[in-house]
Amino acid sequence: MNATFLTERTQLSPAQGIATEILLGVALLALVYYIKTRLVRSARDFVIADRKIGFGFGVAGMISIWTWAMAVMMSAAQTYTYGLSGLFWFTVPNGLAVIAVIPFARKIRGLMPEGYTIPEFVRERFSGGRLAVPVVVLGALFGSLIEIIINLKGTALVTSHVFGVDPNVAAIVGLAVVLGYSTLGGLWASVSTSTVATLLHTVPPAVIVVAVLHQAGGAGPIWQSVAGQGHDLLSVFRVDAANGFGITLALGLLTATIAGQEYWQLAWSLKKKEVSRTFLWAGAWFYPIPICIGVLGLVGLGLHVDLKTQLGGDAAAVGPYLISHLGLPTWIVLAYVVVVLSACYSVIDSAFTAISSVFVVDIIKPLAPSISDRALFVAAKLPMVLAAVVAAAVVLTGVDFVTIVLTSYAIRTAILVPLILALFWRRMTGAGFVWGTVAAIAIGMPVRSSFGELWGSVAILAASSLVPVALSLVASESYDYGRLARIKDATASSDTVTNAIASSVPAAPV
Amino acid sequence: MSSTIVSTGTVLTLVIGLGIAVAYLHFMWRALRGAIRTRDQPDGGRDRYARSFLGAIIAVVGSSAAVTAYGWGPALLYIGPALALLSAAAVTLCLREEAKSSAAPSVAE
Repeated sequence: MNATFLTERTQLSPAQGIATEILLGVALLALVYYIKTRLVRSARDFVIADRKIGFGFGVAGMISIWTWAMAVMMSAAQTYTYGLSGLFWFTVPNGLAVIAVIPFARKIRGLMPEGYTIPEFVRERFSGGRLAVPVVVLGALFGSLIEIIINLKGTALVTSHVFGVDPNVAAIVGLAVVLGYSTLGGLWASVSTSTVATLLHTVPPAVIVVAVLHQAGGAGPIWQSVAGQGHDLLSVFRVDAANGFGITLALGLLTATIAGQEYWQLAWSLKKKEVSRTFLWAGAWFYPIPICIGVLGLVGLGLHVDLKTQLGGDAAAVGPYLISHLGLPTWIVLAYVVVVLSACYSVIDSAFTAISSVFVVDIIKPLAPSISDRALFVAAKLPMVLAAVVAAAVVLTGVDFVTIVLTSYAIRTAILVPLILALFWRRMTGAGFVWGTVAAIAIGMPVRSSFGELWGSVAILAASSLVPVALSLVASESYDYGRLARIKDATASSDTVTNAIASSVPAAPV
Repeated sequence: MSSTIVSTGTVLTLVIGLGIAVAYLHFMWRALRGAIRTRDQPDGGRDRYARSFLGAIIAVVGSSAAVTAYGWGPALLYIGPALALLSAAAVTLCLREEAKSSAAPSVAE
């Protein structure tokens, strides 16, 4: 089989690309405006959706928040690079990472029902945690910022490949669109727009993949072409896929969810009885998305798409390249763009919400404990704007954001084990948390730069396990987890308390 | 087959997908209305879900099997699109359940 099915790029103008970005944003904005007027009345509604997110919105929202542009484009890219082994190692840990949050989500929701953020938990768990809290705040903010930047890159990649839009313009338009609706509705906005996005991540990809298989000559010729190339491309047991990216990706994904503010925030925002099954269903029904879109990678292999000459050396471009070079009708091309854009938008808006909650709970509230609910409501939006400005600056200046990625990666991976110990082990101390994290970064990052990601991750996990355990055993302290249950709601201000008393709303059973 | 509609399979997938999408948006709307209606009700109940481990195993084994199946024959490449539609249908059921539970009288009332 050869590449005769590939054609000139579908002629779509940059203006159509910008219009697609804006129209998707306007549609989501209309939904958010409705939600804002009906559901968002206070800072608590804005930041944590009043802990009233139900099973349906929870599952749909979480699937979409976890479906980065990466899941859409990288599933095809890893399949294109490693065959089915690439798809296997990309897909299986991805869904498992969401399901793996269940014991942690269940535990934290039971121990600290009025919580909001990871730094807040660390502060309460270690009685102030003067050193631990700044580290965790930094990790949370950098982590969310990275999510914004990476997904902006996704927006830029797809619109520039399909429409020829300037990547910087595409990124800034996308950022402005998401910022516009995120500042209106907070977490409710994020979850409801993500619910729409989950529909866009499932139905359109099914149609697109069936159309692509037909347009590329049919499933039979594509499959025969890939099989004929050898290299175990149709096997899931290629060792180089596991060593090349699979194991480190699995560790990174587990860290992203278990130590990710977005997922803790969702755990705290769900109705109590829905926490476990929401994470299970979201993880399980996330799987079909990369499994479906990964077929595009096989089509790229089957048509002998060349990495250097046709994809510019970037395997992530295999999806956009095929969609725009198979002579597909415009509506299919636009549907693909909407799939990728909706993935980018939903991750960016959830990152905005996570940044907002960390600022409100861990920075603004400690600095101004008596701040009114109205002022807090306004203040909750400012960090979103600030994060957007920083992300735009990184994208526009072309600054290599590898440093931010590495810092974020190091802190998140380094706090993973200390965080788990803090949650499940009474004897874990603040010193163990801080020095375990510091040792993991100090030892793990040089190992990572010298011996690669796999050994770097192993070193970080080993140091962040051994140091806290050793220090905590020596200290011989024991923490009373019951103290966490007595923590007051961080966004509660005098006026909201007064309102609550006036309306005689009965307290939620704990 | 006209180039606009690509193939019979594409049309069939589109029709099924549109059907699921209509149901999805319908139940999403009902769940949203339910959330607005019950926003002041206290959150009762406890997280007693006990099938997480079994569910996790089924999900991991199922997804692994789906990816592996691509290697068994060309027709199985269509498992992906079928699962994607199934995923939308499953989330529709979740939204339907939320809509129904918010329509039911609250236990706390």
